[in-house]
Amino acid sequence: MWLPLLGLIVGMLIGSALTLSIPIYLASYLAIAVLAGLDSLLGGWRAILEKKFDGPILMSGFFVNVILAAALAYLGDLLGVDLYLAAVVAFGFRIFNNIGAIRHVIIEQRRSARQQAARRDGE
Amino acid sequence: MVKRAKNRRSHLYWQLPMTVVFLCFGILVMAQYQTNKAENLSLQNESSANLAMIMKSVNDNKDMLEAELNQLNAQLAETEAIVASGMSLTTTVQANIENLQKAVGTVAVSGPGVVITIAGDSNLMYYDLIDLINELLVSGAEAVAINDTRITNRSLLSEEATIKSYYDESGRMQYRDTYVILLDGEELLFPVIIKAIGNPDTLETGLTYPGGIIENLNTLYQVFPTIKHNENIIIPAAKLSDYEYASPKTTAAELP
Repeated sequence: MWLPLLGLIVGMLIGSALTLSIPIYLASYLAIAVLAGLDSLLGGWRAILEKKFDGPILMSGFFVNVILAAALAYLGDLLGVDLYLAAVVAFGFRIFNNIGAIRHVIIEQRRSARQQAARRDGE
Repeated sequence: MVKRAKNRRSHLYWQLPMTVVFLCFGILVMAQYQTNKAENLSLQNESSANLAMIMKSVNDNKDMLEAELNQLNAQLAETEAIVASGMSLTTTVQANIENLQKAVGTVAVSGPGVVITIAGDSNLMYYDLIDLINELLVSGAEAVAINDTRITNRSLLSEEATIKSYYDESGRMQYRDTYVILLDGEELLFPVIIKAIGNPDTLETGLTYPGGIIENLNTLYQVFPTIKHNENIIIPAAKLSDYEYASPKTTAAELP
């Protein structure tokens, strides 16, 4: 449980230690990439809770989504269409979706645990 | 037991990929955060009103610095002019001092001129020397020395004539004249060598013109000076005389 959190903290430390500063014209692509990464993470959490977790799918999903999101925003810039916005809306939607699902699963797990405990008390 | 072990393995099963993904996500987030921060600080994101204000203040600063630069340049030019005038003043004063030293005779000088030699066995009197020196000076001699003693405005030529008594071989008392020329109180030894710096030809003609001083000396007193040209005569410096009582009427600042 704590290992991923540790990973996040170490990643942030590495990121701030490297002081990566992307050129400003790439900043919007990076923002989309961050959204895609967040979506993948929440999707992975949801999969864990729903006991459908698959490591390769999560890893490939994370990296491919991040790269594809940035590539899509770049393509939008090339074509003069704000695909950037589409990506923001899509990822935003998915993120809320995932959070909602996680919420559902957690609440139902709690509820069933309490019912089991009540039943055990009843016996 | 079996179920717990399986549980633990399934834990590892999802923890490792999640950790890797979280790590990458952390790096990504920090990179984006820093980029965003840098972007917010950059001029591109300033409003046009702010940009105008920034430009105005930068322009004002530039104008101020330019004015300062101009002022400093003017000051530099002024200072340079002062220094230049100071330098010219220094060179003038130095030239003045050099001229005065040459005139007074406190520096050794060298240059072309003539050397007049008067042999020992002659009837030379001290006023002959004075005449000779006067003639040389009139002919444009810039520096004169007798037997390597510089002739200056304080030089003194005089004579000392004494009669000495002595006994000859037969025991009778005899009298003998001795005549000595004194230069600055010191006995002048023969041969007398007079050195003068100036235009050699002018100096020589000044002495040797018909009816001139050399002819007079030759015919009247049987003194036969020889005159030689020399391209590099060295005349030593005179001793600086002390002035105990005389003080200048004008101060140094009023000198030309």
